[in-house]
Amino acid sequence: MLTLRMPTLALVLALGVTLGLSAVDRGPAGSAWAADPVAASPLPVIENDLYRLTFDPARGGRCSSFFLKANQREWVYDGDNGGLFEDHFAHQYWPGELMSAKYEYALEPGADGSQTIRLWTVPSGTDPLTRGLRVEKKIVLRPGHREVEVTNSFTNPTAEGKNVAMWIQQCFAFGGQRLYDEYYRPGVAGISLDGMDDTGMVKFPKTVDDYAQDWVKQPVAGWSAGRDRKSNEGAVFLMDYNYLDILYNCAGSYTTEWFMDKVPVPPNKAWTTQYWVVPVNGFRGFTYADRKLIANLDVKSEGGGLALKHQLCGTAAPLGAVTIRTRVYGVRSKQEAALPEVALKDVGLAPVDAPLTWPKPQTEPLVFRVEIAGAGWSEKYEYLYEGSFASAGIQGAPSAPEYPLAQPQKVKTFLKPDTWTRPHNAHLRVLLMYGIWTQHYRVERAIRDLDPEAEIVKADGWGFFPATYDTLLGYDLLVLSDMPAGPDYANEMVADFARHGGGVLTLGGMLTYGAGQWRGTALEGLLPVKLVSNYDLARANPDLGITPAAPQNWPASARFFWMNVAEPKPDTVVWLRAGGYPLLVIGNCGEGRVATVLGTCHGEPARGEIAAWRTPAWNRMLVKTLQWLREGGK
Amino acid sequence: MYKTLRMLGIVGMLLALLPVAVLAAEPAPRLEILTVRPSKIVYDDGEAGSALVRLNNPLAAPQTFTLKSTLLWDVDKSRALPDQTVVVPAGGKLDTQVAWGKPESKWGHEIRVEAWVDGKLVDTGRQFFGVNSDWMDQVIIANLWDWAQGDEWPFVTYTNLEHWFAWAPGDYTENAPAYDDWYSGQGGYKMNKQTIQERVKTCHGSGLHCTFYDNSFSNGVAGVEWARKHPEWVSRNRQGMPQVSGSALNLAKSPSDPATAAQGYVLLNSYDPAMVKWGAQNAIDSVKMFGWDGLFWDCGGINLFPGFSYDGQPAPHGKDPDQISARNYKLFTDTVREKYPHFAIWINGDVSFYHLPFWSSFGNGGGVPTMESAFRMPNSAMLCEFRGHEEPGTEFNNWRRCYDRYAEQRDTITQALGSPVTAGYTWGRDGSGDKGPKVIAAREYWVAGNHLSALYLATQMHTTANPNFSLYAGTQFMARYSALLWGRDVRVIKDPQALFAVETSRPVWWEKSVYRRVQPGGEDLIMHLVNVPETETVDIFRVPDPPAATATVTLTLPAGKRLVSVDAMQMRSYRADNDGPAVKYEVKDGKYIHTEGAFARFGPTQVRLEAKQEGTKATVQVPPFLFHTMLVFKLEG
Repeated sequence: MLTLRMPTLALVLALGVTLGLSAVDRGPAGSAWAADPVAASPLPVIENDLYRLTFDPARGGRCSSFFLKANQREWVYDGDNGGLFEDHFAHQYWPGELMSAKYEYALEPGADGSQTIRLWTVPSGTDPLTRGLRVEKKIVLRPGHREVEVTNSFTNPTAEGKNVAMWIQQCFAFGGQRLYDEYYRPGVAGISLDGMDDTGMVKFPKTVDDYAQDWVKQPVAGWSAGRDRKSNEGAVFLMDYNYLDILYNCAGSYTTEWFMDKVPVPPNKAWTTQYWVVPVNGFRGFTYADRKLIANLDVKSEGGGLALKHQLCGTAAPLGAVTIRTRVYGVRSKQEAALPEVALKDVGLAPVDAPLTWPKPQTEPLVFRVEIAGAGWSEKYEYLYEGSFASAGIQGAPSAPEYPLAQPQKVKTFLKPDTWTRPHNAHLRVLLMYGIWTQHYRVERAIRDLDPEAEIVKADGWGFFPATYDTLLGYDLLVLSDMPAGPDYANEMVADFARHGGGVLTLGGMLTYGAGQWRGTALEGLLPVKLVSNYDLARANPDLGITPAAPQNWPASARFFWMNVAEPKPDTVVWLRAGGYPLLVIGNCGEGRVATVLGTCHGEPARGEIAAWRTPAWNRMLVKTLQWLREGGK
Repeated sequence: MYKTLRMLGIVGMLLALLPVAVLAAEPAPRLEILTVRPSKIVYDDGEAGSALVRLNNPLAAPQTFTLKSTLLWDVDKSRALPDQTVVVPAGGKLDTQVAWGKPESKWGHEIRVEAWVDGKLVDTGRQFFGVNSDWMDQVIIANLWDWAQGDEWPFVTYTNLEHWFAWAPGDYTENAPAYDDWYSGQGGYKMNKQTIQERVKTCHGSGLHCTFYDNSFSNGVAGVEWARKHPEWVSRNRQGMPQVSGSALNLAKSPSDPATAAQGYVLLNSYDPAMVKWGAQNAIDSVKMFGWDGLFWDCGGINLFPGFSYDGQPAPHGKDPDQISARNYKLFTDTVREKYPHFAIWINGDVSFYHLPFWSSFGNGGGVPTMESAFRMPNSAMLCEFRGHEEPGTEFNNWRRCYDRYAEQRDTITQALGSPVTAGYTWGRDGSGDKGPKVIAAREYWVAGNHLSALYLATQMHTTANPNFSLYAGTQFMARYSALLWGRDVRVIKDPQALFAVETSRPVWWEKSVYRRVQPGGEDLIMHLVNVPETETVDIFRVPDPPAATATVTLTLPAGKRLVSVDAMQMRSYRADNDGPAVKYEVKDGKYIHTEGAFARFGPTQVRLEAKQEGTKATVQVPPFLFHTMLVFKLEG
C-alpha cells in the first residue's frame, strides 16, 4: 500500500524557488490541460515534492500526466499521443505495438522516501523479433530531487535470441501550451536547433531541408533539451550516449524522441538503459548537459567584439565553487586564444550567469572550448558558434560541417551467450554478406567447388545479418564481400564468430575496410592486416603481377588494377602478393581463422592484360582459402 | 370575296417566292479544307518543305477549285505559291500537296491555303511551323509524356520536343548496348531499345526532336557497373566512404530483370576531365544507337558536386569548383558537338531563388562562370521548375508573381546569356486525364490556361508541360510568331515608359514586356499587353472570361524614326465561340484521335492598326482582347 506524503505548501514554494520554476501560467484560459487533472484519478500515481506523475497502464504504460506542483503546470498535452516515457521498438513503424499495449504495473515505495512505479508488458503479437520479450520501465521520484529517473529494460525469457532497438518518445509541451517550444541537440555540426515559429505553422530556423532539421543522426553526446522561449521553462533529457543512435524532435508535433542502438539479447539475458528527465527553468539555450551539470553559452556581437554569457547549474546537486575556463578557436585561422577565467562561488540548481567579453570582432566561425572545474572534478565541451559566418563547409561543399565535432567512441557491454556451441554441419553452411559487385568474385562457385552440397545464405546488407548468436553460430564460414562496417553489435558478433571457431573470408573493394569505416570497430580487430587509412583504395602499378604465381598457376598477365592498401599484422602469413602489395593475408583469431583479400574487382584491363579476378587461378585461390578457413573450425 | 382575295394573295406570294426557292435548291460550290499539315513541325534552316492539304467535297457532284497558297512569316512577309487546280470527287476527299521549297527565313511560318471558285473564296486552311537548325531556340512545348499522337500530331499541341527521363539506361549517359530491355535506374521504368529507336524515328519524321536524360548521378545496374570500372570517379564523403548504395543482390542481376527497377545510386565526382570526356563519348554512342538530338541535364548536370576524391582530397582539389563546373559543360558539349554540331543541351535550372541556378542548393554554388558556360552556347536552354501554380499558398499561385518571376528569369538567362528559358511543369493537369464536370465547365482550364499563355508570350517563356488544351492557343501563337518572341535579337527595353504611354479600359500589364528588334533600315518595337486576370491567385477552374480590355497606345517616335506600320496579333479564341465547326477528337488508348472538323481554320489573328500621328506622337486603338495582344510597331530610320 502506497502512502502519499503530501508536502506542505511552504515546502512546495521553497522548492519551486530553488528550481527556478515559474509560477506564471501562460496556458490559455480554460485550457483542459492547464489544471491538475489527477486529484481523483483511479490511475496509478507517484509523486514527490515537485511532481505528481500519473500513469496509464492500458495505454502503453505512459505517463499521462506530468504535473509540476510549484506552478501547477501540466506538461502532457491533450490527445491520443500525449504522454511521457512512451516506448517503441525502433524497427516498427509508429505507433508500433507498444504505444497502446496494456502494461502491468507495481508501485514500490522506497525506504528513502522515493516512489517507484514499474510497468511491464510482454508482446504477444506476430513480430518474431519482439514476441515473448519482456519490456519494462521503472520510474523513480526521490524526495527533493528534480531529476526523474527512468530505467528501461528488455529481458529475454525465451529460448531464442532477440535483437531490437528501443525508441523513446516524449509527447509534451512546456508551459501548458504547444507554442514557443524549441529544441537543442548536440551533433557533429554543433548544436542543432529545431522548433516552430510563433504561429506554430512554420519551421525555424528556415533552412533548405526541414526534414533534416528534425533529425540529428550523428549525435556527439547523450542529451537532448528543450525550452519555451517565452518563459525559459524547459527540461534536459540525459540518456546513455553509448547506446544512442539518433536524436529526434518532431517540432510540429512537439515531441522529444531518441532512438537507441540495436542490442542482441540472448536467451535469459536482459539489457538495461537509463535516462533522466530534468526539468529546469531560466536557461536561454543549452550547449552542454550531463548528470553533473547543465550549461549554456550565449554569444552575440557587441561593441566591436563579442559578449559571452555562460549559464551554469548543477544537474541533480549543487556544484559549489566552480571555475570556468574558456578558449576561443578560429575555425579558419586555426588560432586559439584564452579568455579570462571566471570563478563562481556557489553554483546551485538554478542557472547562474557568468559574463565575458572577447574584444575582437568575429571574422570566422568560432569554437569555444569550455572547461568547467570544481572541487576534484572537471568537464569540457566545445561549442561551435558561426554567428554571421555560416560555415563555408569543406571546399566546394558548404553543407558539410567545416568543423565537425568529434563523436566519442562508444563503450558497450555486449550481451553474449553463456555457452558457445557450434553445430557439426554435414556440409558447409556459409553466410555470404553480399556487397555490391560480389558477383564478380564468383564466391559461390568457389564454395560449390569445395562442397557441391554447401548451403549458401546470401544476405543483402547488414539489415539481413543474423539477429542472434544462435543463428550466426550455425554457420561454418562467413564471407564479407566488399562490405562496409555494420552496426557495432553486428561487428562484435562477427568477431565472436571468428573467436569461437568460425572462418571469416573478407573480400576487398571500394566499400570495405578503411573506406568501409572498419577502423576502430571489432571488425578491424579480427583482421590479419592493419588498416592504414579510410582512403585505402589505391590505383595499382601497371606491373602488378601476382607472386608467387605457382600455387594457383596465375597467368603472367593477370592484374589487379585497384588494391586495398593495408599492412599485415605480426603473426600472420602473406600467401600472395600483387606487385609489392599483400594480396591475400591469413591469420588466426581465437579459435577461428580469418583470410583477407586485398585485391579488388575494380578497373578494367588494358590490351594484353587479364583481370585477375576473372581467371581460373582466382577461383583456385578462393577454394584453397575457403578450405583453410574451414579447417580452422574443426 | 375576302376569302378569294386572300387566296389570290397567297398564290401570288408563292409565285413571287418561286424563283428564290429554285435558287436555294441549286447546290452552291462548297469545299472544306480539312487540314493543312506541313510535313514537319520544325525544319532545319533552308530545308525544303511541303504540306498535305486534305479537301472534302460534301456535294454529290465533282467540284473544281483553284487553290491559292501563301507562305507567311515574321510580321508581314509572304510569298505566293503557284496556284493549283483541283477536282474533288463527289462526296469524297482529296489529298494534295503544297510545296514551298526552301524557306527564306528562320523561325515561325504560316502556310495558308485558300480554295477559290468563280472568283469567290470558299474556304481557308492554315497551319504553323518553324524553321531552325538551332532547334532548341524553337522549342514550343517539350512534351514530357508520350500521348499526343494521331493524324494531326504534333500540330494539335505544337509539341516539338519529346523527352522522357526513363529513356536513360543508367543516367550519366551509361548505355546498356547488350540489352534489348532494361529497367531504368532512377525511375524504374521498363524500356525497350527498339521501341525507343522507332519512337525517335517517328518524331524525326514529323520534325520533332528528342532528348535523353542525363545527370551527375549514376543509377541502376549499368550505372553501378560503370562505377566498378571507374572507382576514381566516384565521390566519397568526408570519412572516405564512396557514395554508392543499392541492393547488391538486385544489382547483380541483368538490367532486364524487374528486380533491378529503381535500384542503385552512385554520386559522381567530375573533377577529372577524363570522366567528362568518357560521359561525352557515351552520349555520342547513345546518339548513334538511338538517334537523339540532344540531352537534358537534371540534378545539377555535370556540375562538380561536393565530396572527396578517392585520394582523400576535397573534390575541387584546391581549385574553384565553379570554374570546374564551367569547364565540364564546355568540355562535354564541345566533345559531343564535334561529332554532332546541332546536338542540343537543356538543363534543369532555377527552382528556389529565381535568380540563381538550381544547383546552388546542391551545395557547390554553381555561379556565373557555370551559367556562362552552360547558357551562352547556342542550342541550349534552361528549364525552370515553375511548379504548383494551381496549388493555393505556393509561390506561383499568384498571377503577378508569375509575371515577375518569369521576367526575372528572362532577364537573368535569356537576355543576359542568350539561352531560352522553358517553364517546366507549370501545372499537373493534362489534356488526357481529368474530364470531370468542373473541368468541362472550365473548358479544360481555358481561362487560366490562356492567362498563363499570355504571361509566357509576354516574357519569352517556352513551355515544358503535359500538353493541355488550354495551352494550345498560346503554343500555336508561339509556332507562328517565334521570331518576334524568341529571336536572340529581341531585346528587352528597360524603360518602356519613355517610349510608350498606355491607357487601358481595365488593368493591363505591359511594362516588363516591351522589346526592340533591330531590322535592316529600322527597328521593330514589340509590346505585349496582358489582360490582368480577375483573380489575384491562379484559379484553374475559372469559368467566365475576363472582361475584354481595350487600350490606346501612344508611341513617342524616337528622333529620326518614322512609323511604317502597326500590327496587332492575338491568340486564337475559344473554338466553340466563333471558329465555326468545332474540331472534335477523342483520346483513345493514350492517343489523340482526330474525329471530325477542320484543324486548319483556327489560328492567331493579325490586324493592321491605323495610327493617328500628331508630331512625334503616334496613337493606335487596340482591338478588344481577352487575354493578350502583341503589338509590332515597325519603324524606319
